Amino acid sequence: MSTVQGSLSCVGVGMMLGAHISPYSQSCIEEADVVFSLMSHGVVEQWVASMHPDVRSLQGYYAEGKSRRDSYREMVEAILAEVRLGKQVCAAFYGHPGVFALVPHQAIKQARAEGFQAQMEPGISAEDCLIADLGLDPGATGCAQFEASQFLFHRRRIDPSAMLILWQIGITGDRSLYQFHASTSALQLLVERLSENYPLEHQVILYEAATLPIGEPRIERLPLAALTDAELHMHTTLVIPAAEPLKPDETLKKKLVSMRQGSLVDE
Amino acid sequence: MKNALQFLTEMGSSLRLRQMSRSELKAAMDAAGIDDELQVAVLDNDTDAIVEKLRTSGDIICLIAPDRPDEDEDDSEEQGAPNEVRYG
Repeated sequence: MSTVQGSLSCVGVGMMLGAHISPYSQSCIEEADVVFSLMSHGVVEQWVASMHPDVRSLQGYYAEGKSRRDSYREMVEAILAEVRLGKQVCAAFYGHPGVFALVPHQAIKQARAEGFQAQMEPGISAEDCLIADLGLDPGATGCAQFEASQFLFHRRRIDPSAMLILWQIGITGDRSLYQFHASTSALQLLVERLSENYPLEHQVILYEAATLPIGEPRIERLPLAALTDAELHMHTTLVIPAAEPLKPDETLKKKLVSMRQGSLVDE
Repeated sequence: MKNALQFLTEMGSSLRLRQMSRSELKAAMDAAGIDDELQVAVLDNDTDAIVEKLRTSGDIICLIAPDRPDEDEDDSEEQGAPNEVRYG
């Protein structure tokens, strides 16, 4: 006797309509019993809705004055409820479903904890687009990235010889989780914090990935000091290229040479 | 005849369409039966007009919330860890 059991696939559709989705992710959407979607743009949401007769947007779980924590819990619960009914469920997210994304991670953990099969299928993330559009290889200098408010509210060790990426610079300093604009004072604090490690004239980049194939990414270079006057949107990312050359660790190098010489003697 | 969403989706995955000149793209949209207003929106890269023509919402909330299950929930929320973005 076979047991009917639900399953969950969390897939990414990438950043640009029609351009980034993988054949496997598309198949997960098309072959599911029910699809949930959380997209970055109404047109992209409509595109995903066109792939399956039962696509349910998760947008409705957000509401004015409602805790986002409650919204996230309800999204996870809505997805899991269908899995528990024995359905093959697909939850589609813009970009990569595992990058800065609480709901897919929680839904998969919960599904697995309840004994269901659950998987994540990667998508092309905003970071991937940023690397391609700006031509910056994170491996060249190393790279650190943070959500901007998280960065501002915690003491971080900044390495100015590595690239730094701050996501959601457009809502920097939002502690309430209800705001959709950065306050000038929060941006000033951020610039002040960054100026501890970078010169104010250091060239930084404001970046926004293109969502529709007719558009171009936003790539605006400006000095760090001008950040407080820049036009920032909710999805604007701040990229700070390395400001200092890599510093060789001569002590470690000498130790390594000495250890190699020692091992040759031992042999 | 294709609808506008199908055409934009095809454009997303087609090098040929994305490299077309303005006149070539207009001819491709004519052939696909895309209505004139939408053609102008596409040719002018006017996202707002496309959103309006497709009768979709440009005002969307996107989740960008780091998954940090090991942190105390109240503390996490207080310190601004999870956030979201509204695109439009």
